[in-house]
Amino acid sequence: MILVLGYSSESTVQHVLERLRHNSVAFDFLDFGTLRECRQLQVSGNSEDLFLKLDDSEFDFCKYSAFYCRQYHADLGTPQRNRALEHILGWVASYLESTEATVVNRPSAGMLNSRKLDQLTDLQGCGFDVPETLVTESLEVAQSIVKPNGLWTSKSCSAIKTKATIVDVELMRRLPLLKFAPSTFQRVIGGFDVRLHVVGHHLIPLKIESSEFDYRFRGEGNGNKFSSDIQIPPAVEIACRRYCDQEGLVFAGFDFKVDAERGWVVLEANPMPGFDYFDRQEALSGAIGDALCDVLTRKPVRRSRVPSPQPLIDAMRRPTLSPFR
Amino acid sequence: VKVCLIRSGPSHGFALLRQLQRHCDLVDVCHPQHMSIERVSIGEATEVDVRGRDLEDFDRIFFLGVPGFDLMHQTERSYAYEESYSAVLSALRHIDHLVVNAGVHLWTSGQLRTNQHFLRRLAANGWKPAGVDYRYDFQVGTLEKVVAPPARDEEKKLLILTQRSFRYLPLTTDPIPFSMLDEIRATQQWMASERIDLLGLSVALVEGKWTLYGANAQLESILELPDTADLVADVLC
Repeated sequence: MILVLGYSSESTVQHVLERLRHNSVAFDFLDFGTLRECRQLQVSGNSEDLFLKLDDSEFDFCKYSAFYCRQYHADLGTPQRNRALEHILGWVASYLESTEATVVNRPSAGMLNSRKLDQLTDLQGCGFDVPETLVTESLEVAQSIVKPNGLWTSKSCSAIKTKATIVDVELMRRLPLLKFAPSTFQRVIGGFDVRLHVVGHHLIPLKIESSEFDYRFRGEGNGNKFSSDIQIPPAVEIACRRYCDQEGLVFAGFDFKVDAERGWVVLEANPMPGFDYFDRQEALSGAIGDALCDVLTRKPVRRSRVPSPQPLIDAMRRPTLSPFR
Repeated sequence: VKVCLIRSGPSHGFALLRQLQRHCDLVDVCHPQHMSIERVSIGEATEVDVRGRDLEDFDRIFFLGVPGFDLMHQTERSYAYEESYSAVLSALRHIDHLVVNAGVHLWTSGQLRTNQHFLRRLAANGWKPAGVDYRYDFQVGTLEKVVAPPARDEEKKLLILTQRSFRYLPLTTDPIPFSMLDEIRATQQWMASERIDLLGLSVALVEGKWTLYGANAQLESILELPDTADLVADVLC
C-alpha cells in the first residue's frame, strides 16, 4: 500500500492520484489541506512508527511500503492550525527520512535546490557541463563583468521561481537595486531546452522548443513545441544517475540547454518536480506518472553506489570559465 | 579568537552576543548594511565583506540567520531575505570548517532541523526517546500532551554536549548515571561525524534511567542558558 502526502488543491498531486488510479495502484491519501477544516487531530509516535488521525481518517505509517510526498507549509488560517501543521510536517519529515520504505523523495534528498550555486557546483562534480555563474550584490562587480550584450542572464539565487531574463540596457539601469538583494548572473547558453525526468531507473526526456528565452513563462499550449524524440548522451545519463545517487533522489527533473557547440549544459535539478505540466503533453501522455507508479510499487532496494565511469565523465567535463577573468 | 556572529537582527541571539563579547574579538553582523556579498562563484574563492573584514579571516563563525528579518515583527521572509540567505550559505560552504554547527546550518535540510529529527537520530545512538501522543481539539482550541515530561522539577535536566565535554544543568553534584556515559560518548562521536559542535538535550531521570524528551541544535537558545560560558570556550577551541 502506498501513501500519498500533499495538498489536494495542487495540480501535481491531482495528477499523481489520477495516474495511480489509472494504473490500478492501491493508495491512501493524506491531504494536509483537510487540517483547515478538521475538528480533531492526533499525532502519536516513537522512534520507529508514526500514527496520525485527522477526525475519522487514520494513517499508521509503518503499514505503508512506499510514500510519495509533496510537503511544504501552507497558511491554514489560524495560528493553532498552522502550529499543528508544522508539528505534523516535522514528524512526517523525520519518519520519511529514516524509514526503510521507498520514499519519493526523502526530505534530505536534493536539499541544495534552495542554493542554486551550490547545486551547480555539485552537478559539475558529477560530470555535467554547467554555465559560468556568479552571485553578487555589488554594483561595481556586476558592472565590471556583466554587459548588455545578450550573453548574460539574471535569475534568482534561491528556490524561489523567477523568470530568467536576458541582461539588457534596461536591466543594467536597475543594477543599483542589487544593494537590496544579491542576484545570480549566468552565461546564456543557446539552443533548445530539454527537461529530463529521472524516475528510479527510468529516464524520460522531453525536448522543448520555444520562442521565449524562459519557456516556462510561455503559457500552456501557447507556442511551446514538445517532442520526446531526443537521444540522451551516455555521459549525461551517467551524470544524472551519479547525481541522483549522491543526493538520494528517486525522482528528479533536470533542466538542460542543448547548444550546437557545447552540447548538453545542465541548468538545475529539481528534487520535487512539478511534473504534471510536462506529463500532460501529448509527447509523454502520462509516461512520467506511470514510471512513478512503477517505482512506488517495486520492492524497496538498498541504495548502492554507481561505479565511477571516469573515462566517460572526463570526456564530457569541460572547465567552467571564471566570470572574473 | 576572531569570531563573526551573523544574526537576523539586533534582538536575535542577544545572550549569545553577550557571551561572545566577553570571550572574543567579535564582529557582530546584524544589519543588512553590515554585510556585502561581493562575489561567490563556482570553484573560486569567495569575497564577503563584513564590516570591512573578509569573512574568511575569522577563526569561527556563528551563523544564526541573515540580517534583515525581524523575528519580532515579521511573519514571512521576504524575497530579498531568501536571496541573501541562499547567497550567504553558498559563501559559507567554502569555509564550512569555520562555521559552528555547520552540519545543521549548511548540511541539514530545513525540513529536518527539528526536534523530531534529532530525537530519531539520537535513538539510533542508544538514547531512549519518550514517545509522543498529542491530541488537538480545534473546536475548543486545546492541545493535550498525553505523554509529557515528568512534573517534578528535580527530575528534569538539560544535558548540553560539545564534541569534547558536556554540562548537566541545573548545576548539580549528582553523579551522571554511569550507564549513560556510553551514550554520551557515542553521541559526541556522532556529533563530530555530523559536524555538530553544540547540542542541547532535555532529559529526565526516570527510575534510574534517562529518557530523552527534546533535542535542540539552536545555538542562541542553548547558549543563553546560565553556566555555559566554558562551553562557548570549548566550541571556540
